[in-house]
Amino acid sequence: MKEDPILTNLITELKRGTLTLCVLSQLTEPQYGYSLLQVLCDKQIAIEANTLYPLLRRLESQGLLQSSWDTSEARPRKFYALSDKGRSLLSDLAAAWREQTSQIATLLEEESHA
Amino acid sequence: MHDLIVRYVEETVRHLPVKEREDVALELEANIQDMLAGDDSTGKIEETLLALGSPATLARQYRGKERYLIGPETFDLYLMVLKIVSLVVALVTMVITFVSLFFASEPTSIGVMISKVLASVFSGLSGAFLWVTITFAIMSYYQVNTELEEWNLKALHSLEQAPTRRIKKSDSIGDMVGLSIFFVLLIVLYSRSDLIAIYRKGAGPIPLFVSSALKPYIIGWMITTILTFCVAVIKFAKKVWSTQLFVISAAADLLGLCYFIFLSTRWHIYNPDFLAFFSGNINQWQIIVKAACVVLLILTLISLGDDAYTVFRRTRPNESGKAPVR
Repeated sequence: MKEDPILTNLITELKRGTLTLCVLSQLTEPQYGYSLLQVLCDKQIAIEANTLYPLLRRLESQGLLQSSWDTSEARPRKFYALSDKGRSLLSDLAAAWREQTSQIATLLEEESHA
Repeated sequence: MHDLIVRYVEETVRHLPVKEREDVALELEANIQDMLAGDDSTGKIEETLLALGSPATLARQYRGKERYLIGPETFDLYLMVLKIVSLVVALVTMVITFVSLFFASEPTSIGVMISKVLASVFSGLSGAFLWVTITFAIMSYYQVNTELEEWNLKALHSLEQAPTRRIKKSDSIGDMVGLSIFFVLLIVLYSRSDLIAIYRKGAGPIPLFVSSALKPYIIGWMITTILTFCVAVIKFAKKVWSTQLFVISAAADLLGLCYFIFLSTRWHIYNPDFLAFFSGNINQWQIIVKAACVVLLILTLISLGDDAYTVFRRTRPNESGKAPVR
């Protein structure tokens, strides 16, 4: 069966909206681009490398992440972790997410009873 | 490092602001190396780069904002300004070129005149398009706020009273009556053009026109009058302006105007005796006629501009029960 393009599009939009939340949630410990990609991948969060790397820089420029270059290994790597601002924003965002999911769950519940 | 990676990274950062390039390049290189997981065969590299997508797309993600000449929020205003400026520029260049050609020392044929007018209108329009676009591009670049005033319910209330594109009944009836009277006058002029004359006591009248020379031109004038009359009838029947109707009406008006200019500048239709009596020589008479033509031209263009404003800026009356188009 061919995938419905409208459905695919809507799912992509849903995921795009939650991407920042996913990324922030995994940065309590410092990560660099590729390692974070793998962490997310292991937890079944599909994100493209070409979306993640720019997103990290953007979050840094918004002051939610702080970065540092680690030059101790053979290859220099840029590590990102939550800043204080990022940490408090993450908890607010997570709360908003929980509230929204419970509201939507109620809506869907109504529908399944109808 | 592999050549392909270097090229990919360079191609990506090329699109970014200079001060970010080095940092992004270093980070991107490191990430690509990590993605290879130690396998630096050309096949693996190609696969990895392919997964990352085109450098231009990646650069766009890094930039974080779309690039455009004129943003969606200013586009409507841009179109409106472009229309108004184009209309004004076209009319003004048309008039100026017409007038300057009219009073040129060497006589110009109608064909040459029209092509010269078209050429200058075209160059005027190109210039208008260029400058309006450049202005708006600069405004978009610096994110100038084009929201003229805060939208509120008051604006909505006044919108309900906005004039529509309805054609006034009295206007089209007036047109029809006027044109009918004019047509009768043309018939009289055709059969007895010698009635327009200087009447003197004790001597025969001096007619303005050479009857035989004028007659064939009058027939053409009758035809253009009938055409204009038909347009008035159509306007009366349709009741509402449409773009199509405007084009037809404008064409009829311009045709009538052109025909009048054509007719009144056939110098052999005027009776030399009359001119001798009235204004001395033919040159002065020519200047008077040409000035009259220019005044008529300007009046016609003003009326066309008014119609155009009605057609393109005002809303359609909402008679069908559907939502209005604009």
